[in-house]
Amino acid sequence: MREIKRIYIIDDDPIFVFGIKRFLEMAQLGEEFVHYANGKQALDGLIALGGSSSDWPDLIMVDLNMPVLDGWQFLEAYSELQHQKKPLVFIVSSSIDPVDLRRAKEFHFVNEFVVKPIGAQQLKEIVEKYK
Amino acid sequence: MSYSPGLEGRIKRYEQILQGTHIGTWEWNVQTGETILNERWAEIIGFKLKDFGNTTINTWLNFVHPQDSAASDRALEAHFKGETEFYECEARMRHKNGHWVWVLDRGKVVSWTKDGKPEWMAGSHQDITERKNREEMLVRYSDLLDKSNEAAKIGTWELDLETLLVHWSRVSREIYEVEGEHDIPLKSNIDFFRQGGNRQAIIRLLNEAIEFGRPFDKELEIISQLGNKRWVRAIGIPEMSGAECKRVYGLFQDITEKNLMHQELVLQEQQFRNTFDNAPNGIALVGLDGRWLRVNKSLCDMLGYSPDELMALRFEDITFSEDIGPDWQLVHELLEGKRENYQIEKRYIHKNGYFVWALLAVSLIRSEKGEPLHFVSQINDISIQKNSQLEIQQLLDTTREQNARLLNFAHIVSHNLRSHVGNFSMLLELFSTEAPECTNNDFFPLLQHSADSLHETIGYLNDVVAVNEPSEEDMKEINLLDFVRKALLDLSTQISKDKAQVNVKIPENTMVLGIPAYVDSILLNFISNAIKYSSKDRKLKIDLHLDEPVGDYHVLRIRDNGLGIDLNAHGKKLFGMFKTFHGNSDAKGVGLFLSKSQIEAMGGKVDVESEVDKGTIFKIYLRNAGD
Repeated sequence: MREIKRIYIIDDDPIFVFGIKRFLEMAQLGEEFVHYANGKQALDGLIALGGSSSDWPDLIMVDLNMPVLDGWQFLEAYSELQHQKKPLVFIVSSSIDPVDLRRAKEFHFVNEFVVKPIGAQQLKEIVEKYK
Repeated sequence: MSYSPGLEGRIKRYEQILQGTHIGTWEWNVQTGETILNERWAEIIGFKLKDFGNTTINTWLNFVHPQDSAASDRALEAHFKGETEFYECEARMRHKNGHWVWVLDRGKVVSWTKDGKPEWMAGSHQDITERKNREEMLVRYSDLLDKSNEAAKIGTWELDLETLLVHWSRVSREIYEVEGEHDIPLKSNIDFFRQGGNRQAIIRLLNEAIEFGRPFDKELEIISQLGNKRWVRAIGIPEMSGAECKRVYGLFQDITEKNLMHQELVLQEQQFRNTFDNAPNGIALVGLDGRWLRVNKSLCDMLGYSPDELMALRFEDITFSEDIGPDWQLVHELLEGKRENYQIEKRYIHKNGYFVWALLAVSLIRSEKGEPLHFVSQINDISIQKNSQLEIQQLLDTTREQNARLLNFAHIVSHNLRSHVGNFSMLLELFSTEAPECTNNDFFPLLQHSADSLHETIGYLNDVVAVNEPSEEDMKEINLLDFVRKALLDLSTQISKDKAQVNVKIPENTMVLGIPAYVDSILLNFISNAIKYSSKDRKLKIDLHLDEPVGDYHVLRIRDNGLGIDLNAHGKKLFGMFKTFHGNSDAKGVGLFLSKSQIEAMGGKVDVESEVDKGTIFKIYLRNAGD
């Protein structure tokens, strides 16, 4: 039984971030939400925590199209990080390009590719799978 | 014998003389047949006198040629009758070695019997073989000459200046086509020559021959007795005795055929020259060193040079530098016998400096011995085609670039739109959850509907954008029948609900080349369209048949008996995007557009036939994966 308390949302779209937080709250998923506007900020945050920290998130939701460090670059860098806690990683993007889908599969630690828009019910169903 | 004894000495002397003259002698008693021969008589035919033993008239008869003994008998007869003073006859005798020897046999009766019959006859044999052979040879040679004259159509003629008659040989008469052998008055002969220049010429030539002893050799035209025009070569040789001409003789040759051939050659040469000079395309003879030997007007016009200017240049001088190398390469291959001709597109440089695109075709002309003589080059100005080809290429490049930009644009638009619409839907959902009291009005459901429609439209747009030119690796071999069955299974609920009758006639193992997802989508789309637009008046029938292949394509025919489409009104828009025709509420007008794009992306095409209220036939061409 996996507990999902701390959720990282890495997305540059404030409207989406606003919406997704509300959906997660409605679905009673997670207790703490951390928002990063791009991959760089998120990476810096994780590095600051250090690999042995128990403060690592339980779920990371990362968008693909972002400024500074995009989703792919973030995932590349993330795979290099040494850490004990292995969070769930969801790509949450509006891309429906099969090329992106294929590329996502190359990251074995990515659990889901979620296509936006996403509703509260759908979100709940997906997360429930990993509880 | 009745010689008086006093004669013996004289006879002896005569015998010695006869021996010296190499003449054989004979004496013959006509009545008894007794014969006396001398040694020389026997020697002429290769014998010794003693070889004969007793000699009689039979000794002669044994050796004489049977044909000639008859002639000899006739001559004797005449002599005995006193018709000739001497008996004389040329006769052949068989030599000891088997060949024939000609002898001149002569003799005279020297004594008569009391009742007036010839008794003794004396005579001689002279060997005339050599003379006879010469005579025979002469006859043969003369015959040969006649025959050669005849073959060469050479006749002879001779003008007698005393009688002013002309004698013609047989061949001459044939040339004039005159019957009979009589000589012709000079005036008549001259009249055979064509009136005008020809006749005046022969008169002048004859006069000069007679007056100055000047021989002539001239080609003239005559009209024969039968009215045929003939070219003749008349040769005249005056025979002079001092300053006076005694006669003129000469040769007369029919050269009509030769002249005709010559004229034909002249005509051919002229025709060739006309063709060469007036040909609309450039033609040139080019030497092995690259120098022009002859150029025609079209070529000069094409390149802007006068013939003299052009002839002073080599082909490299007026060829764009990049094109010289490939041209020389091909020239070498011609010279080495690796090829017989070549064709290239190349750029010449006009006198005014601009390029002239030309299609150059070159062949090497060789002598009968196979040695290279010169090149024949045909040069066609293809600047217009070439320029329009370049224009088309540019247009194509521009279009490609624009298309790529458009695709990129479509990607961005659809992606960004998706994000925004996604947010929009999400916000509406949150709104309705968190402030349900605000949704209970006329506006909220409409807003919700608009958001859904927008989302759907963007979805279709994405499908369309996703149809790209697939690479050959994306193309898979697909069993058409399996895919049709799968599509029918997917649609089985609708098919059974409408009680539609589906008739599939596709052979097993019909393999097409395509992208599985596209083929799935295409089949689903066409079949569901048939169901969607069925007529309410009759039971739906759908045929899925494979037609005869066309080229490298399998042709799938999908036919329904539904509403049909008015092609006159909608034909052009049928496969257009967002076009609908039946007012069905769920028609979005994307299906056919998408299917067509997908079919074309796989290298195929689609045709449609339709009649309102009868039905529609779609013919889908898919690449054959077999063979």
